[in-house]
Amino acid sequence: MTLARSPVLDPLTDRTLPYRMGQPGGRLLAGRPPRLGAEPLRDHAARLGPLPLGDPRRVLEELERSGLTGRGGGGFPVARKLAAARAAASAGCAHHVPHVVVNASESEPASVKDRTLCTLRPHLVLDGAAVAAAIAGANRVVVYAHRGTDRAIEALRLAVAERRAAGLPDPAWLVGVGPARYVSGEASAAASWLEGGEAKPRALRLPLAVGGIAGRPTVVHNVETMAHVALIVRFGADWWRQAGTMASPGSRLVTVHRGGPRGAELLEMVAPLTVGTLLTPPAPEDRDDGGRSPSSYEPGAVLIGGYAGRWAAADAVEGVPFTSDALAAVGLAPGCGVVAPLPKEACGVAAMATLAQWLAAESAGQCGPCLFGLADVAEGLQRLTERVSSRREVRNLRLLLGDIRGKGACHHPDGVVGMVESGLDVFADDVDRHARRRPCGATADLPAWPFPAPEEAWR
Amino acid sequence: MTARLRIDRTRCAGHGICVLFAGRTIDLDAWGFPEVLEETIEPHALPAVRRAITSCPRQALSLEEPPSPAGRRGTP
Repeated sequence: MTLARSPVLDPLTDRTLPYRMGQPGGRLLAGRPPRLGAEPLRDHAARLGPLPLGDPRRVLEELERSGLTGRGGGGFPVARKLAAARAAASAGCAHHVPHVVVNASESEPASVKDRTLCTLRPHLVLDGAAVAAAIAGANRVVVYAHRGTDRAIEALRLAVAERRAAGLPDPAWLVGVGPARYVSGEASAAASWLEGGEAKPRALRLPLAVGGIAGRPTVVHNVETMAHVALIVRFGADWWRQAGTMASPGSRLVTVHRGGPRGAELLEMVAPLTVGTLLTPPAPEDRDDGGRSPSSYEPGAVLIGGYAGRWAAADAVEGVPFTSDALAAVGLAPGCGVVAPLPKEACGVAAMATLAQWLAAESAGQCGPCLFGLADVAEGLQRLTERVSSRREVRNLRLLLGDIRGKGACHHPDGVVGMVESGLDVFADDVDRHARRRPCGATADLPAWPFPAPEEAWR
Repeated sequence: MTARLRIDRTRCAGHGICVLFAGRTIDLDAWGFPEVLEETIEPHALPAVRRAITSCPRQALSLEEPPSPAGRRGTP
């Protein structure tokens, strides 16, 4: 079994990226060190060899055997999505040529994995997309990115130009840049944008893989998913499954926020690490503040899966491996691979209120319960933070959350409900003190998580 | 044979007319948006539900009747 040696304990500081990288190595990020930037096509081909595009059916079988699941947050089996698109395409007529979309939007502000992967290994991502196109029978691939991830977009565009110049047997590439909104990264929002509409989620009658863009079978995969496909096709499912566990195989990119002004750290988990290991405080000399505020690194609670993920008490998940099955056993999900601890000394109510306010403003405003409900939740939490609320209001807040669940065209409202509901449980003491209008004893500020201002445009 | 009532929430603007026709199947939530009380529609409730569907000014309601024909949607 190939194991990367505890990458998190030995962080390689990379000054060209706005965050630290875990030790390079692993699989997706194997090869040249991150400070050298995007791997050119020549180096990529020399390191990994040509892309073996054999019989699509064999490739699909290999993907199925690998057990690869989507890495954008949903965790849907990749082979099943591709098989559905392939079947729908062959059942339709000739003009039902499927679409393949590489979802590089990474709308989760707390995550850096997708933009980094595109920035450092664009050819791995495009290789995977070429394989997906060959399986689905698509002759062109759209890479869908968000504004504001300029380095990733530039790397992808350069990579596309390199591939064209080299004359690879590729599908036609198109790099599209959509709005930097939280819900615009959702697959149906991407499809809507690619049809010429606004990048807002839609209510789907059919799965996208059956009837997506202009009614055609549409396969939307996250960039990390595509990169894994490129490795499975080259080295086989058996090799790929040597990383991870039986139940959640393969390596996984994880964004960890251990505190400090530099924010996030990216690492590729080859052998599963526990949440506690992921959150091991860096040595004082490795800290961005030089170890001046040791207490701010001691987590009391952890937000897992992104801003619309779920809270868990730090001591409850310390020993839980960061794999989908182990997390599911305690009611959590890896989501897009974000681990964001809240220091013991920080106020959980204030953290929830800040997150809820940002997430409510990110509603596309299409579905009433999301537009009005999330605003009510954010206001309720704000009142609780300011200690002008009551225990009765907290009970009402819980009822409100139940009323919102399941009432969106996409999962945005459900995600916010999950974050607040889990937070109300995990921070029960803080919530109770705030509701009684007493001090909660918080002494530390909230971590410096990124909260980008919402973009006005939806195109 | 049972049917399911679908609400396209991206279309619904909370006019609430559906409740006037099918108050036993649909209720309004805290924000005035419809909420389906019973997942599956019993045959005797179907006429009222159909009136609610046709009366929706945003055409946000639809009936999903099994077996649903899979595969084809509006062609481009």
